[in-house]
Amino acid sequence: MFIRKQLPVLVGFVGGIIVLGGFFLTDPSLRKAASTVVSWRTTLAAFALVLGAMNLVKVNWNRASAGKPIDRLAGLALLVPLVIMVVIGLTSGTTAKVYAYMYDNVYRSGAATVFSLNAFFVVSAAYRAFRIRNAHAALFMVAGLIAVLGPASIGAYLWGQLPVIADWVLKVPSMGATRGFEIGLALGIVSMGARTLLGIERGYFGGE
Amino acid sequence: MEKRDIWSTLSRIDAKLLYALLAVFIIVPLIKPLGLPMSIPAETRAAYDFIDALPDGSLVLLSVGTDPQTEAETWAQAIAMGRHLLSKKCNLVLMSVNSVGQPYAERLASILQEEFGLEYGQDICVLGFRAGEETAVAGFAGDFLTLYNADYKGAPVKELPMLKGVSSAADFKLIIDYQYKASAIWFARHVGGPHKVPVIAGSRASSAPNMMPYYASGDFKGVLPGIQGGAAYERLLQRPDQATKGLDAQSMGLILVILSVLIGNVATVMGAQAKSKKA
Amino acid sequence: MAQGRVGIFVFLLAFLAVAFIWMDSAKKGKRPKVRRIAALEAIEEAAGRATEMGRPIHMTFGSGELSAPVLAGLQVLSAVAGACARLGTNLYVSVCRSETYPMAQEIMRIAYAQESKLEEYKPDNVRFFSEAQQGYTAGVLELMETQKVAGNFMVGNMLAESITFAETGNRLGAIQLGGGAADAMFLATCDYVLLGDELYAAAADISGDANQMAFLTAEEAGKYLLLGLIVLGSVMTTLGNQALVNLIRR
Repeated sequence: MFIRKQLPVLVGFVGGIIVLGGFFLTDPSLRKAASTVVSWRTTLAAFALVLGAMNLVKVNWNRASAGKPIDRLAGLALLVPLVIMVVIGLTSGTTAKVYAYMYDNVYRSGAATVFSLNAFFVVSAAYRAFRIRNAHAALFMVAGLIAVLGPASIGAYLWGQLPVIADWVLKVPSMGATRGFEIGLALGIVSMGARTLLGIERGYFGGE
Repeated sequence: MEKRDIWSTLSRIDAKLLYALLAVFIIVPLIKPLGLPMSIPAETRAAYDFIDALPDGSLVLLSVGTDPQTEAETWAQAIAMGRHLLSKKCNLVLMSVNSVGQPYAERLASILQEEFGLEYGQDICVLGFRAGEETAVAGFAGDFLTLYNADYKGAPVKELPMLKGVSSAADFKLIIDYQYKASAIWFARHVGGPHKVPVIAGSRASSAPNMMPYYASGDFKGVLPGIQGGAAYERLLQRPDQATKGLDAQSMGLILVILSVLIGNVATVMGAQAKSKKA
Repeated sequence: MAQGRVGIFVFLLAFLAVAFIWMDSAKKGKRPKVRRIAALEAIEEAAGRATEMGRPIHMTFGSGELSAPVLAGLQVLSAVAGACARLGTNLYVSVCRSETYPMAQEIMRIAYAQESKLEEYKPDNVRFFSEAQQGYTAGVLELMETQKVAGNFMVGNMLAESITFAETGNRLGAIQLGGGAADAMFLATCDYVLLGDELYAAAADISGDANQMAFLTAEEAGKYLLLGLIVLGSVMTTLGNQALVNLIRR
């Protein structure tokens, strides 16, 4: 029971105090300790990555072994490149030409493609969401259109003053609102951090 | 009856049609640039002017956080600013705060070396990647030569001619960061403030509003917002390249967004009016 | 004390002092009053609707690093998993960060155990796709499309993928709740939004713990204090007096 309930809180508290101490105080050994504690996160993440990868392989192996042809294809489409990249990385290293080729022509292309979906979704979201249903929605739409058109070259083409207005909107009301929003958010983060450090917030490990 | 159907149809356009139109609107300017006019943001001009005023031979750090999804926006910025810095014979140290950005830093160094005939280690170098994101930046600020003790090939950094005499982050005359998460803010916080090293942020368009408070307060000496920042910088250098081409495509995409919003609103309003008239 | 951090330290001490005072009041029976957050009602509504339609719920925490928004999202997961266990709805949780994966599994397991439905808990319903943002995005899109999710909860460190998930959920007719870094996107696309620090208030509200509510009150007090400092600082700076600015910068 101590291991499941009190130990995580104790470890979190001690680690958090060390890191906070390194932030506020100038003692070199404390700062080094804080830096070490933070770097342990990378080690923990690496172990957790093994668990995650095992889940990924297990789920997709099941799909590739049984189910509809399309599911089998999807499972293989993940497993085959995964194995290839791991083998190449382990045998030839990540600076090898073949690894760089796979990275540039498979990963980069795929990642850019998926990211480019955002453009399409922005259009459909704007079309659906920017409707003048009431005064607030109208204001939302006008601000959105100014924010979109102003920085774009087409804005200057349509009306020379539009970039100036957009610049003002960005640097005065938008910045003021952003700052206020971020102050609230920062306080929320401080509160969350303090609750977690003191063991009051235990939801992240399922504790009561 | 017909008019109501038209407004109803226009207020419920199938998303697939919008997607097809967007594809056309973007592809056409990439094939045939339209040469649409552009404005130069004040914060981009500030970045240009700051670099222009740097003494020749200054030591500059480029933090390349580019990844495949931000490549369209920040890569062109990096190339343009790299060219400007090298026209002033600056010595460039490249690094990355994310593992995915490291190959981009190496590629940028390779492109600039070839274009300007640079000697590795004398005029330009690439530091080895260190994990930790903001922690790595804090480490760079605190003890640069201990944390970044080797370049990306594993050679000791202290043996590079261009870094002889460099002992800390404060020896850099400028840091330019190409966005990875909030990396420019990390540099301003850990290096810019304590060591008084100027920082310029090359950011994504969507993150530019978050950079403005730091530019307004003087923490950043300039900001390049997305592809527009890159295109504006290319205009200032009088050397249009990738960003200039991409800006036309972006503008056409934005035109479609505006048109679809306008059509949707007109159809909603007219449809409601037609309904109330009928009632 | 490190340069420029005295002000922050003093503020932190004041914040904790207010929180402890309220925690003490809560022990004596005076519990802070917090308004009910409407977005949390979406959880039961979505779970009920999904059960009727025979479709699952999906939840994700975004591709951002493990930080305060993700911890708040994990607290929301406990409520979502509890509702799904109670109503017999299938729940899929997708994660981008490997360190979130075991945490999400444990939270789901405990939620199902608390509803005495441990036999219905499926550990493989927590899916890790990739630490790369686009790999994760592609995996989640595929999961949402193939499972035809009826509810989509995006609460955590949501970045550029938020619009992609939200639009896909919209096309599937899912009830959507968003909260975290991409609030602007969520306002345009989701049915319910946990705006700004409502996310952390929601985490406290879900726990029902009076001590957590005390920290919410400290947040509010902090806002008033900062508001006062902003007004005072603006007036003083306008009049040419930098005393307050210099004090805070120490």
